[in-house]
Amino acid sequence: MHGQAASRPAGYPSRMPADWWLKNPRYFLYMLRELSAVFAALWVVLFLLQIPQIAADPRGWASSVSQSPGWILFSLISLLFVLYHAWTFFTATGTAVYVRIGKRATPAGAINGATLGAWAGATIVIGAILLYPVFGR
Amino acid sequence: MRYKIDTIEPLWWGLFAAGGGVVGLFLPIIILIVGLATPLGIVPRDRTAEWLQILVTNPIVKLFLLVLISLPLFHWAHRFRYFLFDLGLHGARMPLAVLCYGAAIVGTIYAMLTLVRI
Repeated sequence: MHGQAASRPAGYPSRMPADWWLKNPRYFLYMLRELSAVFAALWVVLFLLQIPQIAADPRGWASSVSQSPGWILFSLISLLFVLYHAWTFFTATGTAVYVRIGKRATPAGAINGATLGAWAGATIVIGAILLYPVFGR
Repeated sequence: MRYKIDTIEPLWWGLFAAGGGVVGLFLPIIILIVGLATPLGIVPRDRTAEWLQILVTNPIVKLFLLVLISLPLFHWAHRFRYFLFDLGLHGARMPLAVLCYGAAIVGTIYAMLTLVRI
């Protein structure tokens, strides 16, 4: 095959039309999931920019974010995107990862269950740490 | 030479996958509390903010924050590159890769400097 043009079946064009993802709801959801990375990255960057103020003047930071509908709305949209990412990421792990215990492959459902369990565990631990002033004092 | 950046594709893919894990595991609860519950006053605003001050100035939390900020940037870089391909942007392969991964590297360095300074 090297050096030769591979013959391509007629049903598989090398270039799809730019709007291919609008033609099927599943394709649209796939692209939405791809887009989730943009919101996750933008959110961490905006959070990074706030960290110096949190460290220097926490009450000032709390006051400024509480008066910022843009930050709250953006956080809400980002939350929906990262939740969608998390669900699709962790429920796909069983398909993407092959784990063999002894001579048997671990069922995909068990791997997905483990990743979803890890998600729940991380959420509880991080939530408890962040909400320590509410429940711990 | 043209696609030399692809020879280290496993590195980018590894960072992408690790970033996907970080985004999924940690970001939802952090966005919920820092981005929504605190500004909206669902949790005591000032007390939570003062606790966040203690957290973000702790060296171990700073390391966690570096991971929390850096890996989602690499996750974005890899995914956004292919998102653009999917939208039909097949040209400028190398410049796009440099732009995406470069932005993630710059963001990581900026995060490091910010966290060291506070």
